[in-house]
Amino acid sequence: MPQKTVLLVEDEDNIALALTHLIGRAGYALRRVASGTDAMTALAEERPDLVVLDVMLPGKSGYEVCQLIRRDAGLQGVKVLMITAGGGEMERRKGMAVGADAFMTKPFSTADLTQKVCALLDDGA
Amino acid sequence: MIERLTKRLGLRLRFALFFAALGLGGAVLIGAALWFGHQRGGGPVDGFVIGGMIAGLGVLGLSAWIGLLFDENVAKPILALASDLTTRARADVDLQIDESQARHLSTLAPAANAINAALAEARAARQRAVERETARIAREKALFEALFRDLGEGAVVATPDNRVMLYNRMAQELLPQIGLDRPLDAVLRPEPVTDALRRLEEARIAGRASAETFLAASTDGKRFLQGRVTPILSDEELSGHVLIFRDATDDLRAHAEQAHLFNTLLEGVRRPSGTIAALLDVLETGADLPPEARAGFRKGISEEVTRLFKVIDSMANEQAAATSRRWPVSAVAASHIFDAVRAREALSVSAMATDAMVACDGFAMATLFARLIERLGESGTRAGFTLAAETDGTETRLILGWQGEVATDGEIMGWLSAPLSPAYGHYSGRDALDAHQTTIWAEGQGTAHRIVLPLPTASAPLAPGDARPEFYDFNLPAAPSAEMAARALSDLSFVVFDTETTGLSPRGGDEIVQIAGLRIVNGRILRGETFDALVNPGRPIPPASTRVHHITDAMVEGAPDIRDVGQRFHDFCQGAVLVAHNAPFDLAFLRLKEPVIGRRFDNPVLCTVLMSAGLFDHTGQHTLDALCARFGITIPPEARHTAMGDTVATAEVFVRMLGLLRDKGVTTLGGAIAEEGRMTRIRKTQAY
Repeated sequence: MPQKTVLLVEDEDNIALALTHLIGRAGYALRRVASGTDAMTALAEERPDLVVLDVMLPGKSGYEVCQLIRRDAGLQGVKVLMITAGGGEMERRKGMAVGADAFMTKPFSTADLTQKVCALLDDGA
Repeated sequence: MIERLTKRLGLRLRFALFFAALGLGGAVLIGAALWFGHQRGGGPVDGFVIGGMIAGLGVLGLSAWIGLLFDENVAKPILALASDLTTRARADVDLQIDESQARHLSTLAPAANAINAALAEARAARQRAVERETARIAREKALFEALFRDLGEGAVVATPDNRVMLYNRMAQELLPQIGLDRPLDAVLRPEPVTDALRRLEEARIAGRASAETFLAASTDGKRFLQGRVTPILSDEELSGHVLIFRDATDDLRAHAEQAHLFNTLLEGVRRPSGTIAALLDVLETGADLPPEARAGFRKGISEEVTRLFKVIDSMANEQAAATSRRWPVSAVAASHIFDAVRAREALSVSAMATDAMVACDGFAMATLFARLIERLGESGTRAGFTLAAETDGTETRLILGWQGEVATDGEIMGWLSAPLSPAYGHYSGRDALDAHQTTIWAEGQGTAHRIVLPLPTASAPLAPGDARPEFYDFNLPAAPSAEMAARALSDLSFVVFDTETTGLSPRGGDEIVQIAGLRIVNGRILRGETFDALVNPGRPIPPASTRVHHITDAMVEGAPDIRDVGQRFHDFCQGAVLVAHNAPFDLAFLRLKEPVIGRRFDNPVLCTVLMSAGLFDHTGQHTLDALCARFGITIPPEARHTAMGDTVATAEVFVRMLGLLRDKGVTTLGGAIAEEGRMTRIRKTQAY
């Protein structure tokens, strides 16, 4: 079975460092971009199995990137895990309304994140 | 003497006596003249007698005839004219006087008609002036009422002895137990207001007109009101004071919450971060640590991180809740927001009918939707805009729908980043959303799209169309210093009430399931000052009782117990005479519960059954239905045997009975109670 791929869209370097390490350790191939616009370019180049998407991004917001993924017929079936430091219930509802499969609020435990990533990718297998 | 006589005798009789005296006097004079002539001239007597009799009778007859003519053509017309003039002077009759009836009185009748016309004109002018002034006063009254009613702050006017003479809608919202003629300290802690009044009085004596501020808790301790009190002076005499106040509860709570939140956050972050720093320091510097000790330190760091996360989560939730409570929102009808959007020029949008209410800044939301529609429509690729509301329990979603091109979140948020309105300065649509602790998003498929804005559902405020509450009464009687019994019935406040129960035996374990009451002040039923509460009886309601009052176990399951409702009802009744139909029954239930409620219902009591027995036939029917039929009062069938329905009916009966008591000469409370006391036969049947 080919290795599953994850696109990490995160502009904060330290958390990106940790997430890259964690997702890599879980056995997935990972590519990181730091803005919503770069995310759209990366998505056009290669279709990932999962997008780990921060909400607060320079350029396009995470919500908008998620909406664009859901409207792109070529990206059907791509899972989206949104992460935010906002933390309000309304952000979570908005994330789910625009098409996210899961939503996590910072700070989160690395174990929870790894578990959620695995669950989303296994579910889509 | 003559004056008295003329007053006693009528005009026609006086004229008749005058002509009788003239005739008789003429006859006597003729007789005396003939007798004198015979004495001087001599001769046979017969000729003189016959001549005298003919002349005397002739004079008498002539007098009678002229008298009758005078009566018919002068006396009667004068009386008719006088009657007509009196009628027109006393009553507002606009008709001309019939001049033909007084045609022999020369210009008297036309003169009377001239006076009549002048009187009618004066009356009409006065009537027009009264109508004009009445209309002006009515306009000013309506303006004053509207202004006062809808004032954003609570306003109360109190008598010098602190009884409520007037209050507005906001005062009623802030102090739900407020009522006309009720003592102010029944709803507001008196100490701060008394202190402000004392300062006010000192300032007044010192010749300074001023207002004093106060911060007082409501009597139930649920609210803090901040406001000012101003004296009302008329002719240098204090005739009352005005209290204007606002709810400071949230401000005080927010301040305390914020301080608590900050301290908790500080403590919650300090402890684990200090521990983590210490553990990391040891790990970094302790190269010689054995592996099991390192594992212990890592576990410690992991636990402290988890604790830190929990603190942050918990503080974030508390902060969100506190912020949403602090933002000043009001209950707004979704339809009003939609109307405001549609009222903007050049916006073609249809709105679904809805009675949903949302808690928000209505102007900000209307402006926000108008902005969205304007921007969405600019591209020319979107049309068919619709506005709708979806209520789902505590949340109501305002939905803007359209057909055509999608709108991305970036576009929408970009549109909402600009200042919302010149009225709000730099306040943007996103600021408005943040302030309301909400957000907005677009969703949809194909060409049908919609933007969703969730807001908290609000409960409807007091509807202006409700039975219009009486908010003021400037005719409150003077201070209630006299004994209640000696006070005039017209000066008293009454609380008419009714209870629904689990059965008919208060001593046999039956309990109250509902209490309803309403107040009567100055003979007016105050439909805006009602008490209506279900009571959890702490026992099942027998089906037979449910069939009567339609109150089920499920309806009272979550209701407060008699202790809570009883205390609130006691507050509602303060200073009033209690009135009920068959009062001993309802009072037996209340008085048996006095130890639980912790209050005594020692108000004077009037019973409409006993009043009816005193006013009408002792042996007749005194049921509420019979009394309503007697007074022509209609109770809707669905309201009968509900506590509030029966209370309203009893109140209607009671105010009519007060009128009958007054006609009978019973004007005091003591008199009314004494009347009831006479109804011993009925009283014996009322032992509960």
